[in-house]
Amino acid sequence: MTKVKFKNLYLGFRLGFGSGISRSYKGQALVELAVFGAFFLILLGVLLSYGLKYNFQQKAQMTVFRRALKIASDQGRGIGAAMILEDRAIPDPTTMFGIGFTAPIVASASVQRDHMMHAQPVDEDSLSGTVMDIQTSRDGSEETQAWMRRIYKTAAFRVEYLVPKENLDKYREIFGSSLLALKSGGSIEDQGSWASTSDDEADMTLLENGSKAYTAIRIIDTCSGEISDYDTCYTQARQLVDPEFCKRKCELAKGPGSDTDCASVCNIETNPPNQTDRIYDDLKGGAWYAADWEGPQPSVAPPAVQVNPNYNFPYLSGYKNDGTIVPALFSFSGARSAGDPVKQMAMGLHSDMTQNVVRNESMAKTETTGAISTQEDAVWTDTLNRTLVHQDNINANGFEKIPASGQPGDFVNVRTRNVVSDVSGSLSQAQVTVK
Amino acid sequence: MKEKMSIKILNWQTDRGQAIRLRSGQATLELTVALILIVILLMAGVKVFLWLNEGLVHRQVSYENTRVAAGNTSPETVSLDAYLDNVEPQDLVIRGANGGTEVDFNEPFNATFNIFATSN
Repeated sequence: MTKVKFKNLYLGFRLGFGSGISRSYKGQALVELAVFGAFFLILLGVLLSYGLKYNFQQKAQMTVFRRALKIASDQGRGIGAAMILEDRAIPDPTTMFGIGFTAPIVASASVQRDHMMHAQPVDEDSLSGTVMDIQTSRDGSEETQAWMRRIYKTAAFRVEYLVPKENLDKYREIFGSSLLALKSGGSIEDQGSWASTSDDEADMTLLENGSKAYTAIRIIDTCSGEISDYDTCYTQARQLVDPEFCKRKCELAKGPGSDTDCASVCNIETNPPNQTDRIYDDLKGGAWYAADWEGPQPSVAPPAVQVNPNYNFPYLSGYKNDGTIVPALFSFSGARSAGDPVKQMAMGLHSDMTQNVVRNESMAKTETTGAISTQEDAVWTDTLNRTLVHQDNINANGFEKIPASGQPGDFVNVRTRNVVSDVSGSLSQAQVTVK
Repeated sequence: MKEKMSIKILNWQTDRGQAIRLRSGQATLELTVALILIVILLMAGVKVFLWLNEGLVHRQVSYENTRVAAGNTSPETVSLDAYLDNVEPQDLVIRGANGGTEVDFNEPFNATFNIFATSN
């Protein structure tokens, strides 16, 4: 008896010395099939899930690349970037009715044509940006889908006035010489009014001290874009106000044989805010996002606590070291402003989301003297909520909007948008068995 | 007679004796049933694998077919419809196995090539 139980434990395979041939027990092969068949079904499910996801991903990647290529084929543009986000249902044999789950498929691509590598954007259309195609609903049963398209600029034109000629080197160092232009006749928003920094025909203004300054310079500033990145803006702002930091970045960026004197370039004072003046001057139009900057806070002893060891730019971080909350592009304090208490540390479409899953499954059985009929129905909906954060700060010509108040906080015009995606479908099956 | 019937229904009843008795043909019958099921599952797996692979092949063909049209700089301008909600990007969608080699890439009749137009 014990021997039999022991053998059953090992599914009937005989152990030890003996005939070497397994004996058959009743239902042995079917029990084994049940065990291994379950594993096989799981394997099939994994294959299906992986294969479908790979297919959807590849399709999205190919499509988005073609779109980026077409956008870049515009001869006045030369660059193109596109993104696709869709939510696809992935069936899974291990779930009820094989309904499975919803998987987000994200793909992006950008294309820049060779001849446009060193070209400078001249209007709103040619400014760098990205086209986002976001699926808002998909019904697998009805074969319908709806999409939302948003186009966001990742940079905008920002204008500074009365920039002394010798100060241009620091702007070149921070923003890159290919992103600068000098006003040369015409009006500010006329794209034909701007000339290269190597052009000698720029408009000059005589300052009170007798020196000459460029009347206006145009910067293609990524921090003025509708979607910007905190790290990039922080680095840019700190280079403007911290000469040592600027010097380190300058030395790192130096090419072989470069004779740039990083120390003297970084000691130049740009239009405020800069290393000596923290106040934004709307008449000169400096980098407003660096205004009212706060240097590293000294240690307090005892106890030895450093309040904030880093540079703080309130209009980027959302707070001042004294606890005041200010309007900002990003928020690390838990609230961007009193009226908009959202903690927002990044712009663009956020990958984190909430998902509501609804499954309605029913089965009806009717038995008569002649037949048994069954009706199975399954209706399912997945609702995915995402957050899309962007600035609304660029006019039709690609220039950053200037607030009438001239206050740096009023440049901030962050919008938070809730993007909802519904993925649904239904299954139905009827069967009649004659008795 | 009773034993023969038992074999017919794959001997599912419990033995009353201490030892399980070997019935002739038992393993063969079960193996037959098991193999049929295994083969069905294997065929289903192969079918899924083939279906997914076909998608890759067809998609690659349509992807290559759209290369020239997407990269062509004629016409000179490609307009983007900004700030539109609920636009279905039907153009330049590369289809997989379900759509065969069909490619939703329509050359427009009008001068401006709009890759995002809902209709041309």
